[in-house]
Amino acid sequence: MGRKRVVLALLTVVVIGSLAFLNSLLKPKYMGAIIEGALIAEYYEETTDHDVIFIGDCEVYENFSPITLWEEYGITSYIRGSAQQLIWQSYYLLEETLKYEKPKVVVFNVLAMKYDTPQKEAYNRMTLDGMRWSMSKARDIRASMTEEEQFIEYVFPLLRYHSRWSELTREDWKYLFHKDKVSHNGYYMRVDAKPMGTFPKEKKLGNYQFGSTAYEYLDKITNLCRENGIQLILIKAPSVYPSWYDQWDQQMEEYAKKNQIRYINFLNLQEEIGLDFETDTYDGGLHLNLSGAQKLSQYFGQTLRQEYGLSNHQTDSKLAQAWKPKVEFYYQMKAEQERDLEQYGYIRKFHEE
Amino acid sequence: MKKRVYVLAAALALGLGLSGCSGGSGAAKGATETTAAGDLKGSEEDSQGNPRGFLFEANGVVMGMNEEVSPILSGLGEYSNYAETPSCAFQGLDKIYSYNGFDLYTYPKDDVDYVNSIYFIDESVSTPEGIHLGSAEEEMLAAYGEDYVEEFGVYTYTKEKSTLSFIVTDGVIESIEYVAITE
Repeated sequence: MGRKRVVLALLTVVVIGSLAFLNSLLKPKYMGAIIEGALIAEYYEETTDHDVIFIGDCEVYENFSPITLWEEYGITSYIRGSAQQLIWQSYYLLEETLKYEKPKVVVFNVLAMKYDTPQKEAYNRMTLDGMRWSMSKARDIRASMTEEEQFIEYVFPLLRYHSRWSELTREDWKYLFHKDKVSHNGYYMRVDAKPMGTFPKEKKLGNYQFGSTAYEYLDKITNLCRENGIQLILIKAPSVYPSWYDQWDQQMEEYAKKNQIRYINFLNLQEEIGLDFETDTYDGGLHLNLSGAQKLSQYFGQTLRQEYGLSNHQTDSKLAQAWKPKVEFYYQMKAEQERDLEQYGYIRKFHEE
Repeated sequence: MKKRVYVLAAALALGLGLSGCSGGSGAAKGATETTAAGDLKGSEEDSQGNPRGFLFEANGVVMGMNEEVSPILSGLGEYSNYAETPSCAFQGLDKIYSYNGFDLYTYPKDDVDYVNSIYFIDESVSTPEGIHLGSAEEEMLAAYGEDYVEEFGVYTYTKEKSTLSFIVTDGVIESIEYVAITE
């Protein structure tokens, strides 16, 4: 009887270990040209709290630099951003974040209001797979799944990714047990520049009204912030494409007024910020490069300092110690990307495929 | 006790078995089949092997949704503007080619670009059924019938892997767009 129990225990360990190993091996690592799927999980490595939490899509994680906010103003911030982050994903990420810390300010980019239904599994995965398990994650999955997706496949990613066995690359083995740090408190760095071109004619829409689900979650974000004494700022980042329609802008103005919260449309402030879309974007105007993100952060930092009373933490030794390696990593990556640009004319990491 | 051992062994076999399955790709990648475009006018299938849906013709080139864009671009000649729109997480470029009267949007799949949508930008182009920006709602109904879905003044007809949508305001067509069904 005793021997049988030992055998059973060993077999259990082998089965669970094997499944865990396969799970880790077959899950996408997002360590190559597409690093966006690695952003969400990096938050859990943070050791100190933040004054400001950004939530939203690429218009936050590619346009704001927390390192600039730290260096210029001593403001601590983190971007909980992910690719095509839908508004319910922003809400549940915020709900989860508040279990770890209580920021003074939450910044939400409103482009996500244009989506009222689940969109693409690939983007869902980039947000959801990186979250730690919690009720927030479970609810987030349920809100995000497309018709083809199954909840169980999020619980056991092996069920979804098993067919990747024939596509495994060196990256899958290299990052089996650890991942490199890819962001700067959630910021995705690009130092290259590609001047803004001419975008196609804006498409007409049949209905410009944001959907009821989008508003429901915007209300939830507003209420969650209010209940926790957090000041919410709605923003539209200065990305010039995809279109941000006047009718959408009007709805956000009205929402902000009704709920007595701030809404800043940075598209209208490009000149004040000093943005030059000949030099401050890396993809022709969709996202800012490092130069643009630093300008936008310098501008926004003033607002945070002057109007939200955020203090300078640079003299706080604990925080200074925590931010020193972040700043070093930032300048190290900047130098590497600049070296690549000079030597190859492009950044190798983003051209490897 | 034996049962438990069998269950655990079966779970391990299932795990290993799943990893050995062949077939679809992971979530971050699309399907793998690619085929060259056929004769645009004569083919009953698009370049991905699906029955052709709605077709649009310009400069003597007939084009449908989900068709490989390269031979279409060759036939259309020089475009007046070109734009690239990488998505949030860079997974290939969506490309937009502007021609006289319409914009042609593409999507990438396995290093090949396919037609994603065609959007009319002025009255100089018409659908093969003769509908253009400024046409009357009655003309649209006469050309395409009543088998549409209407929401907020957007009339959408579906044919195979494509849709053709008209935005109608006060009885006048203000927008025409062909869109590929890709899912």
